[in-house]
Amino acid sequence: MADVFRGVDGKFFFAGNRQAKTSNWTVEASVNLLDKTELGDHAIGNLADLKSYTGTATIIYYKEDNSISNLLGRVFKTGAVEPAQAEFQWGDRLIKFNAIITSASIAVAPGEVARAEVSFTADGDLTTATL
Amino acid sequence: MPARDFPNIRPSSRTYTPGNFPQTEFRAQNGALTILRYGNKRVDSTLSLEFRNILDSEAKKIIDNYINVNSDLDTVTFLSTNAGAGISDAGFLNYIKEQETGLSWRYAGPPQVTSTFKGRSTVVCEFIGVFLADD
Repeated sequence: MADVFRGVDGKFFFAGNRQAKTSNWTVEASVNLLDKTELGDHAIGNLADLKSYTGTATIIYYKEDNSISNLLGRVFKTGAVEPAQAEFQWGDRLIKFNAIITSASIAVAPGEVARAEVSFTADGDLTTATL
Repeated sequence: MPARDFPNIRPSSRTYTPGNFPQTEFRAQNGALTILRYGNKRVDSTLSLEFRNILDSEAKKIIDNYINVNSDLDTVTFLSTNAGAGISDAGFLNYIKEQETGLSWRYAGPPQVTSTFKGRSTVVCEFIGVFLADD
């Protein structure tokens, strides 16, 4: 039976710190298109334009976990937001890019553990991609 | 005034107006309109061509054509493989080419070149159909 990657294989690092309490993460690539359709064509012609990367992570908020405090402290602060390397791992595979935190939320609700939802957008191209 | 062929690049969009008939209008104080018609041939037709995201090498061909045409005060000719691309009616194509109408295409201004991506540009060319005195 072929091996598959499972949730237990997933890891998320931000600014070199492992976010050990991450409950899920996603990473997404998107490519803008340039129209190159000419008169006389029967179908739209496209060119690949600039690409971009975004990611999200949901992290359970433990009191003694400094790594999540460091992450959230980059955006819940006075002054400028500080970009840092975001690294998404699953098994021996990884995607890494210099990330700007574009949104962050801390949610607390009765009957649930406190958690943080963080979204990232890449500044520039991927640093590393092993797929 | 010799004519030069426009490069074989198909436009993304084309806008054509057939021009006007030369005339002058006078309106009297009582509102009556007098029209002095100077000729029965159209003049000043216009053609606008947009080439979206073409190769930089194709943009260069268009600029070269503009320079070659204007440095010699030439005119431009079009074919179904460039400005007339996508036209299925021969009569309509003749209007775009303006070859059997007595008009000649000249650049109304320099091409506008906008760089859109690495190696790609969008070029807009404006032409005016003139009735040359020596034709």
